[in-house]
Amino acid sequence: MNKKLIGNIARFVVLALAQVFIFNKVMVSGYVNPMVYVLFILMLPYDIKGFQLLLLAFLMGLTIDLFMHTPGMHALASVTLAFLRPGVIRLVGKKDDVEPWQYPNVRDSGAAWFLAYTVILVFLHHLMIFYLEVFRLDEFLRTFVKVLINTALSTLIIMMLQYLFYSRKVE
Amino acid sequence: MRNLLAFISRYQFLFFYLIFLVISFTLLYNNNYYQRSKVVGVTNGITGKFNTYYENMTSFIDLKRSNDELAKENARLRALLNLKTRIIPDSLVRLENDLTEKYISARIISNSTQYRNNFFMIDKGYTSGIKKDMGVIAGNGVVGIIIDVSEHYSSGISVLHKDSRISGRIKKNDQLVNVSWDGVNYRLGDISHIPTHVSLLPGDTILTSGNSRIFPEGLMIGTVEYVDDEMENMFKKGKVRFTVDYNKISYVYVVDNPTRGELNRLQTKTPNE
Repeated sequence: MNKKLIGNIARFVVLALAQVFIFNKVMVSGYVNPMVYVLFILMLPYDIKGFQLLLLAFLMGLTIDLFMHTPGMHALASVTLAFLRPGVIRLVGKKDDVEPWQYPNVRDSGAAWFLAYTVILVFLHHLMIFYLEVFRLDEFLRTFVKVLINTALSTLIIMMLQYLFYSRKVE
Repeated sequence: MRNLLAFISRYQFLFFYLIFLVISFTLLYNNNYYQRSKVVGVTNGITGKFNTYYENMTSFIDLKRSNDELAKENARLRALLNLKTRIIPDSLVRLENDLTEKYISARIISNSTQYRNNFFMIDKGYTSGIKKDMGVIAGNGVVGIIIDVSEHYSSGISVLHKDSRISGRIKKNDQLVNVSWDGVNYRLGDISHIPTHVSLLPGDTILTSGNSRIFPEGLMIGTVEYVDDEMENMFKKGKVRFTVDYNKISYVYVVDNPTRGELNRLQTKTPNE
């Protein structure tokens, strides 16, 4: 059990640092800005308490906010993502017999399940982030293109990370 | 009371979500660039440290270009010195009178260009005399405005921000224009409020007007890329190519203008518009 807890803490730290110092430095054009830190929230255990899920998502969002000078923006989107997570799990199809500490990932959940789960939540998260960032409607279409491009990119990176770290059976 | 508690425990997930939502909204609302909370000022110290480590690790990559830039800047300042009859011991003080601008040199430790709203962070704080609302310039143009200061670090909003608006002046005919950024290409800014009778051609130079006392007067903003003749409320619009490549800036100067406070007080007294 402690090992799983440490795994989650490590994921928090590694993904926050990777977001701030790698993914935020990706410079292709004004459109590209993948947000991979949401993977931390996506991979929290199925049986996590509602309050803990929201609190951890809030802390993750706030950490990213502090580095990006956008207090509240990532926190708001992350908490909303956490709030929608149980619903999306039900929508995509809940696993019946979940063990304690079991969490969504490619190996256990299957590629199609995990992809659908990721795309839906990442899209909703990015939708909030990019519209909050612009905060007006006169750039509506351009912002929507940004949401689509970055949803695709974030999902791609998340899937790649999944296959890199979770494709083989461990233990 | 028992009913209320039962209700809360039934919908506790929603209840906690709403609490976090309100906290986030409060943060978002209170931390726009006009009124930022003290909390962020404190966290600047922490994120500043992280950013310095990162900058120290990566800065050697563009040492050669930074050197070239600083050498050019030195040459320009030396030329300015020669123009003056009196020798000033410190080249950072522009004129004899201490009511004129002073410059504090600093290094950029974090910077972005790819978002709709971009921010930067420098490695000098209030111990070096940096205050909120001071302008930040590079050797060849404007960079942004300081919004948060901690002990050893400050952060600022870049010219590449939706709230950034610089008062500019067309060099050849002294007409005032506004320069802002539309969020697409970080090399191109928007020029607005060009009166229709004013001639403006691609290649013309746009300088800072110095009206706000944030930036020194006559600093280069950029050159006109093209002018859109389509009118909007009797004004023309255009694009300006910034002289500063915001993706490459590493050394900047913070402008300390002692008369700005006085000017602001006067402006709040006079009914504006």
